[in-house]
Amino acid sequence: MRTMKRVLLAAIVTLMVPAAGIAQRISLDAEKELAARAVRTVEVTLDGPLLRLAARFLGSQDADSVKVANLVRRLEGIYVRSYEFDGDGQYDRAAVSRFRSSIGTGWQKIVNVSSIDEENVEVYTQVKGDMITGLVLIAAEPRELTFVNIVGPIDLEELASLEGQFGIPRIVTQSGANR
Amino acid sequence: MTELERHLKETLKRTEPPAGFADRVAEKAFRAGAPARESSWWSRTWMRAAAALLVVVVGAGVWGGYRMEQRKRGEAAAAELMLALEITSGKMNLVKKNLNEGPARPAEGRTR
Repeated sequence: MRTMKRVLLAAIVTLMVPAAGIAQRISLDAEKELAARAVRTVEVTLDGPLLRLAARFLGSQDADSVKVANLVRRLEGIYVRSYEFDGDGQYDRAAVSRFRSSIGTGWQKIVNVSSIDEENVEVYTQVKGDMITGLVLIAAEPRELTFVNIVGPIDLEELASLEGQFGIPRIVTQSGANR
Repeated sequence: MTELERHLKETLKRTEPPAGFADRVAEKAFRAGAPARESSWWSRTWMRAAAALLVVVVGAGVWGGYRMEQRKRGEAAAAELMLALEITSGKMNLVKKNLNEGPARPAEGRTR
């Protein structure tokens, strides 16, 4: 009986450790019909080992690449799905709702840009202590729909230091202060 | 018995070898065998060297192929990474532009 309790406890701990550690990956592969309708589809799936390999190749080019490589090296994954359509409103807006609903608990919406006829952008982060451990971005534009999921610790200072180089701006929180 | 048979019998009849014939044959065989054994040792050495060289060449080829494959994968992954960062930063710029210029609604700040 005691052994069984130990086994159960070990199983629970094993299941809880990943949940408590790095932010979970959001599934981006459910919307197959978007890709079928899009005139241009970008699908980037970079898991840990491939990401580190990419960082290695990036790291030797110049100082900015080294900076990006250092930022990327700690990440567990970068997943991007971007669909471009040849006309306005050619995708089902419900896809955004479906994707939004797949974002689990523990994610905080830090930015919401909403407009009736232009782009709608939402940014979610998962925070552990002072560290952002995951980022989800949904950008719904008239002719383009983009989902981004970054898994792993993202240092905002480092991210901010990339500003201008790759067009990455400082993330503005609800209060409007730069983090 | 015909003439032919008689001739054959005469030709094929058993005769004793000349004296020392067996020794001479053995000596010749020994002489012929000695260099053969020496060349066999050399050939074995060469075979070993050739086999080692082959292993090194094949190993280097396999390693080189692996490195090349890794390089290709790395470059492709780096290109994908840059594309992902470009898309992400582009969208983040969109956020920035809207927050700075447009009549953006403030974030809800809700926790899901």
